Amino acid sequence: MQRPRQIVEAPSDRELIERIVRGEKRAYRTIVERYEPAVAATVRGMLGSGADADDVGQEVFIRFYRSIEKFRGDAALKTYLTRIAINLSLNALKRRKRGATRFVDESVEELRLQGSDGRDDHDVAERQRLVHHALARLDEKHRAVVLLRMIEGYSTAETAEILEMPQGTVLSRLSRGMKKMEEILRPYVGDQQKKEVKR
Amino acid sequence: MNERDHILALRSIAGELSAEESAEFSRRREKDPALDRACRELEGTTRLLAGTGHESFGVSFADRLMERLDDRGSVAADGDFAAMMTRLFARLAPIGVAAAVILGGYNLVTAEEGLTPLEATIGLEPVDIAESYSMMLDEVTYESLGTTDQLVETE
Repeated sequence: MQRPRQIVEAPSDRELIERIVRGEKRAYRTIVERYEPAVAATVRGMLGSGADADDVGQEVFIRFYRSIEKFRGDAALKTYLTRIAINLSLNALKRRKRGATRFVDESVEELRLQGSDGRDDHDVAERQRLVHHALARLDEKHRAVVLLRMIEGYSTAETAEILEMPQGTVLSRLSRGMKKMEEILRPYVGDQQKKEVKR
Repeated sequence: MNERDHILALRSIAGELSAEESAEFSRRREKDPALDRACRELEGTTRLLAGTGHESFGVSFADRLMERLDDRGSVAADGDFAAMMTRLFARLAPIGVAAAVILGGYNLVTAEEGLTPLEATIGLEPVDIAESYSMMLDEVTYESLGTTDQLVETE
């Protein structure tokens, strides 16, 4: 007779944090692996894919590690890390402005022509590229809201919590940011809808 | 579409409208083709954005991070040493200042006449350049000639 398989539950964030505070550094790796996607989405959404995005991503986890004892768990860890990621990304954008570094200014139309070969395997990457170039054309305050709310899928309340602002401000910035996104992406949305109709 | 309707449309797409708000908004869309068309465009853009978030910084991110954290361990140790030295300085600095005030006061009280208050407090007599040169030359001459006993023997 086969023994019933034991289901080993993944340790909770709270358990992992307690282990890290007790000096078990290895446990931090689990936290990093668990939240890297959320932090990557935020940082790369705000900064694009430059080398400084990777540095900022690492700094997010280093900051959290150094102040881990102060984490009281009032907010979910993902929300907390996303907040750090947003703040550090905004700082990096300020540094970029001082250094007069700009996003690569490829027009969306050029991108559309480069990537419109209709192959499905290119579709996601192509959309990702388009969306992130459009995002880069928003100013920081609108970019942060559109990124969190529309791309990362946080609710309005969660976005407000991460950005530490009232929900009304989130909605107002979201509306302005999305109007700009619609304007930039309008030609591509048409293409996308045609593709969907063909299928 | 005005901002109010745009926000309603965004909340509707996210499922954040109450049942009443949702019903009311649907009725308005049915009656107003322009509003309905604008909402459809917004839905198209929303679909385009969904799932376009980056999911990784790339392979070995965690490895590189853990290495940096190990390096930071020594940085933290340096930081601890610096903090310890700062605390030590903060404790010793008032004692040093108090000692300087006492010695300055003593110098001032026991100073010779004719000195300015600053010279008296510092406790050093003023010396001009010519005088300091002549003092140096005296010393050099004395050292080159040898001690008093040798001078006597030479004579």
